[in-house]
Order: sequence, then C-alpha cells, then structure tokens
Amino acid sequence: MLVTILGLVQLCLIWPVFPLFGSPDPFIFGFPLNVAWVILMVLIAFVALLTFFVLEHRGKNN
Amino acid sequence: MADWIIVLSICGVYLLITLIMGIIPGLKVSHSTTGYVAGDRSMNVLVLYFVIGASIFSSFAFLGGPGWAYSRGVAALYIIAYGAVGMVPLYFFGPKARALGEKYGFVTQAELLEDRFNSKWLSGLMAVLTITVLIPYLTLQMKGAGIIINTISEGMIPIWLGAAIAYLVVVIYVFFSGVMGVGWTNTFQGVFMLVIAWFLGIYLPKALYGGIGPMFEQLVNSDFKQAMTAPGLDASGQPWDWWTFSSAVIVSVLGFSMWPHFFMKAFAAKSDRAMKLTIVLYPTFQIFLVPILIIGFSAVNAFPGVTPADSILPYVLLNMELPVVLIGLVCAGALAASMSSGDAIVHAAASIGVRDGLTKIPAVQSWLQSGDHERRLIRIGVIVISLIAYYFAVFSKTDIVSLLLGAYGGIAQLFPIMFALFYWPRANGKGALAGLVGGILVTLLFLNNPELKPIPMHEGMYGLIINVILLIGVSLATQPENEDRIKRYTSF
Repeated sequence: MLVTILGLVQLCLIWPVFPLFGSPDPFIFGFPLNVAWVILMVLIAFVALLTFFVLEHRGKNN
Repeated sequence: MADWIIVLSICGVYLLITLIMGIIPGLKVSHSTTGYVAGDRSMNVLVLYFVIGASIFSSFAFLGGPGWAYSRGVAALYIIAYGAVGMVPLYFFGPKARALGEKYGFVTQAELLEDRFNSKWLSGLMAVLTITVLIPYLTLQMKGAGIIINTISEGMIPIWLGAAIAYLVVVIYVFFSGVMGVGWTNTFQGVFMLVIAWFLGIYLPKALYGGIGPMFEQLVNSDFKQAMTAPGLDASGQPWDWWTFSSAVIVSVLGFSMWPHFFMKAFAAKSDRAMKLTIVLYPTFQIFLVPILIIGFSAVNAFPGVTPADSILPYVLLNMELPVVLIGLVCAGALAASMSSGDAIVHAAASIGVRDGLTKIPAVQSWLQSGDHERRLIRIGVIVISLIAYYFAVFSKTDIVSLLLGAYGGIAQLFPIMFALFYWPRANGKGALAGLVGGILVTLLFLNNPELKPIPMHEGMYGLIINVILLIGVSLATQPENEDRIKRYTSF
C-alpha cells in the first residue's frame, strides 16, 4: 500500500502525469502551478510515510 | 577594518565551532572499527536526520541549485522530483541492513553483498566503484569551498589556500572522531544552512520584487516564460524533453539511496525506529530546496547575463549591498554545505577502501584484523583520499564534472542488486556480478557515445535494463546460493 502510494507520487513527478501540470499558470499561493505541484507531491510523500510509520508503530506497541 | 576581513572572521568562527563540535564526540566512541565507521551503532534520529540531510545539501545544492534555476528555470525542479521519494528504499532496506550488521558485524554495503552473494569479487568491485565516484564528488566540494573563500576575500586568499583551510578542519575531525564527528558537525551545519537558505529565499524576492508571488509573475511575463514551463531548459538553453527529464529522475531515484555514504548510515542507526523515522522525516529536508531554488529565480531579471550560472549566489551577495555580517553568515553557510558533504564522503571512501578493498587481500588480512590496525589504516585513508581529491581540485586539469555526471548512472546500477539481495532468494553471485558489470559497462558506453542512444534517455536507464536482464538471466541459468545463506536475508 505504502509502496503503491509512493510509486504514484513518483509517477506524478515524471511523464506522463507531470506534463499535465507543467504550465506555470495558474498561480497557487504565489507559486507557478508546476512548482506548487512538485511541493504538493513532496508533502503527500511525507504525510503518507508519516501515517504508515505511526500506524506500524502503534501496532507494535499493542 | 575592511569588509572582507569581517566576513572572513565570521567564517573563521564558524570553522572553529565546527572543529570543536567534530572532535568532542570522538572522545565517547570506542577505539574500534565499528566505533569509527558505524559510531558503535548508536546514532539517534536527530543526528541521522542531519547526517543524511546535510550530506545531500552539498556545494551542488548551494551553488548548482540556484545556478540551474537561474539558467534553466523549472528544470531545477528535477532535484526535488527525485528526492521526494528517493530515500524511501532505505525505509525498507535500512532496518534489514541494520539488523544484519548488528548480528554479523557488517559496517559497509559491500559486506552485505559479499556475504549474501558469496562473492569477494562483488565486494572488490564495490570498493573500486565507490572510490571512483566519491573522489570526483569530494573534489567538487573542495573546489566549492576554495571558490567561496577566494570570492569573499576579494581574491586575497587563493583557491588552493581556501580549500586547504576548510578541508584541514574536515580532515582533523573525521580523522579524530570518524562517523560521530561527521554526525555532530552535520547537525550544527544542517541547522545553520537551513536558517540561511530560508532567510535568503524569503529576503531576496522581497527586496528585489516585493515578494515571491510578484517575482514569479514577473518571470512568467518575461522572456523567461519558456524556462518556467516544465520541464524547463536543457544545458544548451533549448526546451528540455520529457524523456530525458523523466529518465534522469528515475535513475536518480534509484541511485539516491544507494550512495555508499548514505546507505552506510543504516549500520550507524541506533534502532529500526531511528532509521525509519529518519526516512519519514527526510521529505521535510527536501522542502528546504525550495528557498535554494528561489535564490536562483530571484536573480533572473535582477542580474541578467551572469556566467557561469553556478556563481549566481556569490554574485548576488556581492552586488546587493547587504550588511557585511549577513554576507559572512551566508558564506559560512555555503562552506557548511561543502564541508557537511565532504566529511561524509571522505569518511565513506576511506572506510570502504580499507574494509572492502585492502582487508580482502589475503597477505594483509590477518594483520589488519588484529588490534586496531584496521581503524588506524582507515584514518590514514582519510588523509590519503583528501590529498588525492585536493590534487584534482587544485592542480589537475582533468575534467571532473564529466566524471561526476557518469556517477549517478553507475551508482543506480546497485539498486537491482540490493533489491534482489533482500527480496529475491533465487538471485546468486554470478547473476549479481554479471548484472553489475554489464550495467556499468552499458552506462559508460552511452555516456561516452550519446549519439548511439536509440531514444534520448539517461544512459543509466540503458544500464539498468541490461543489468536486470543479466541479473535474472544469469541467476536462473546457474546454481542458487546455499539455503542457509539465503535464510539469513529472507527471514525477517
């Protein structure tokens, strides 16, 4: 599951998904779309990893 | 007092703090190879996070990152695009490597390979590959440090002396403290660099354009619009193509965690939790590349025509009439970027060269493994490797950048083999060796003859395809490894 999510995140950062968000327009919070897209993907990767880590760890404590 | 003396004094204070922080932890670790190479397997999350994060924040990030943004626009997003997920393989490999290291005494990646695949050749090949790619990497860091000190002293301190001063500090603390010296200095340097990067990334657009949004708007509405459309421009200034961008990202994702100076840190981790949490937190370090790129973007319209693009950060600093103390802090930050990568590299190269290279020579093996000869020799290796890199940085005319360009393609060839090591019991030594050798040769072939490529993909991709075919084909065609051996690696 984690590998699938992170694989999808990576796919979003290369062809064929990234070109869909490759234009600088529109601007999002002052950043061009392509820059904002890459930042969003890093954040998603972080949240996914953190969620799995917390779940896995909680399981071990029980 | 001349401004440059104040700036240099700030860098001097920074170097002194780094030296002290590097020497203290060496007093605590044991006088053994495990202590020197893997810090007695005692690194906590804080230190591991900064060791891995700050090692990546090299001269390339501080000088090359803004340079890419300045000359190639959003092509610079490539650096973030591969780092987002690039460390994740260590989330899975790291704890396994750590557990095996603790059980069997491994402290390097090659020792894992040698044991699982029952092949001394693999370990020797790893030692050669590692040193071949790490020395040019170290050379670039040294050059970066020399250039920074030379620029801020207004040419009063030559590059050779600047590089020598910064790296004398590195050699002293790596010699004395080993990996724990790398760890604690990287924590200090990491925090320092992050503060500087964020400050500049917010301050420069604000001072020059009134904010980050107005800066980007101006870029998109100028001649730079093409560069602001993904995937940006290539090195010659033409629009980059998606094939090359995507394949370069994939090769870098696979190679990223395979760099020996990162992978080896799995053996230094205190616990599985520390190792995993470090990887979980790593994307937060990746976000810090955003202000670094903004530094380059901010200079596009404000300072057009600066060459080489890599000098854009020092150029902006010297031309913006910033307070002199601030310039000093930024220069110290750039030195931190160079040194926090250089220390990890020289430590890894010396450890691997001795542990996986010299120790395998039967004539010296028993002598090395008695007493603390091995640790002493690694320390000497730290000095020797630094001197070799220093020679290339200062005296040699060899084109090291091209060597480094090939490095990622070469390092990525380790990925299929490390993956098979943990997850494919049928893989054997012959298959691993054939895959690695074949992959490296194909990468080198296309690196040196790009006109032979059927489609414009990164040469490492071609290497990986051949690598996987050979790994699978040769393994299936030959005898599997002994079952007890396999069990050690699959019983998790």
